[in-house]
Amino acid sequence: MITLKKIWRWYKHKVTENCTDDLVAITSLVYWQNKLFAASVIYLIPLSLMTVIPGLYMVYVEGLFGLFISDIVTIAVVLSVAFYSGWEVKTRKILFNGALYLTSTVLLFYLGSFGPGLLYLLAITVFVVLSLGKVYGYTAVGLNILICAAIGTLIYYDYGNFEIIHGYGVDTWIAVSTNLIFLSAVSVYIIPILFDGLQTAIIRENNLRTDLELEEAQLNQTVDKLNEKNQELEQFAYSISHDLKEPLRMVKSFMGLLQKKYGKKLDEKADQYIHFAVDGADRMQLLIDDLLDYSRVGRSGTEKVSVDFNSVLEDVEQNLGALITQHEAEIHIEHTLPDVSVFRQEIIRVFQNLISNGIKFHKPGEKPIIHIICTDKQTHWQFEVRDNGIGIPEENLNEIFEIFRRLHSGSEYPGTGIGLAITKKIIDRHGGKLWVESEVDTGSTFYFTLKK
Amino acid sequence: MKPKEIHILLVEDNEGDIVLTREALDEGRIKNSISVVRDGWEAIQYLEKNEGYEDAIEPDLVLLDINLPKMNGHKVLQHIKTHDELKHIPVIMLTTSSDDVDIIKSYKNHSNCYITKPVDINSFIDVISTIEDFWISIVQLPPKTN
Repeated sequence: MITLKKIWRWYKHKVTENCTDDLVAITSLVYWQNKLFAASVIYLIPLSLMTVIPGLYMVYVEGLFGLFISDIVTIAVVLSVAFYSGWEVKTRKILFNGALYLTSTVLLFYLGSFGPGLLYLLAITVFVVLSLGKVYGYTAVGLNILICAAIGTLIYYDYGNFEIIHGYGVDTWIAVSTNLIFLSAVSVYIIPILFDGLQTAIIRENNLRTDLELEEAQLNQTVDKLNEKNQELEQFAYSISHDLKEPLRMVKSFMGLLQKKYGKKLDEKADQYIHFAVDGADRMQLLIDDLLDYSRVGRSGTEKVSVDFNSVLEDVEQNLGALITQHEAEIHIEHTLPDVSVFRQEIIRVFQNLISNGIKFHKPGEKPIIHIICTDKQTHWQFEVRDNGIGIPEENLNEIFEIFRRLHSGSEYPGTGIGLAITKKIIDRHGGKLWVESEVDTGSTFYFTLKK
Repeated sequence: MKPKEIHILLVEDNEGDIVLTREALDEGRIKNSISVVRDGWEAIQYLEKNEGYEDAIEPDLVLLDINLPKMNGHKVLQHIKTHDELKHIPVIMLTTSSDDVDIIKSYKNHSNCYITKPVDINSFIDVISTIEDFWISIVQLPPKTN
């Protein structure tokens, strides 16, 4: 069984090798024509061998030597087409179709429409179109006309001694054979149209794919460039804020020194001027520090570690101790919090920003109460920081995560407007989402997600 | 016991900081003298008493900035702490940087302490006088060999 399988595989491989052309691209029609031709040859040989042996016996017994010889020749040609290695694919196709023509013409000659000759002619025409194309197809139709006309002439002159000659009148033959010619002509006309459409589709698809690949490559390039630019920008923000600190420190220091050493010698106005200069420098200092903080997100640590969020909240409460005491704030943690793989310091920062905002923006005369809620969302954890503060007007909800965006004056609520921008950057870096729901005078709830 | 007079080497390129540090040290209670060098390479020349610094006084304390021209503070620190004749000198990193990377790197290179310069002038003066107090009055520095 195994050897039979092996032989079959070898045979298939051999015929395919001879009857196809490796140099033809898969996207061209010729590739599929060759493939079809190879498959036909592969299956035709065993099938014809099976039928031809009893056939040969019959024609031998009946004394139809012409048929006998044509069968032998056809088999020889088909076997050469399959196994002889010196021919081009096109030559093989022509030889193959020619051999089939020989058999069917001889069949027709001997058996007329009683035998399979006419059917063969039609089938061969179709096969010629399929494997060799339109021009060869029309040649086949012409050949069909010639063969039919030749047989018609034989009938007319009552030549020979075969069944067809006696069984037909010329008019009957014309009626039968025109059908064949008509059908084969239709096939030759229609099949190439189908094929052309197919090829256009193949080419178009191929072009589309090339375009798509090109676009994808360009897109990737753009993304790479964008990432690079982004990194450059962050580096720029970092160095700029770093470098700005130095001269600013000089301004502040020497203003301070001026006041310290010469304050008594100056008048009130000069004192005021110094005060404004120092105050301006102070505020600039805060902005620069915040900018530095913002650009530092992601600079520390490259490996996330599994962090116990209960301990994170402990740290946060400790860091915010003064603020919590000052406002008598309450912080409620609803459940035991999970362990999540994060950059610890950054997540502390997130909770610290959100909780301190909740405390800072409390309603006048009301104790700030903050709830921390964690929900298991299967693929990720969802955290909520809910406050009972002044809330955020709906029209401002989108802008609060922008850098240095403030909704209140510094005298009302101090701050530079960096906290939420940093929070967003950190959550983005963790691949999570950050959003807010809020109602004025009722409070805000900040949500963020972290992947499990 | 006669009062100690100590010598400080300030490695700093910012003129403003040089003035501020001098002012702050002047306010201190301890008598001291300062030599100032303005880049890392010069600092090494000074410490090694190379050409031009043959008469340099060996410092009791080095105040070292990180951001320096020619050779940064980390390199200078590394040089001091890897040379037998220099490594006993206490080196205090006094810099604007509060970057963890700088802090860790300094301690790994055996800096004796790391201080971020305060922005506020009063705090700055406080810090300098604390340095003075601690490193000069409280601490026993290695006795000079020459």
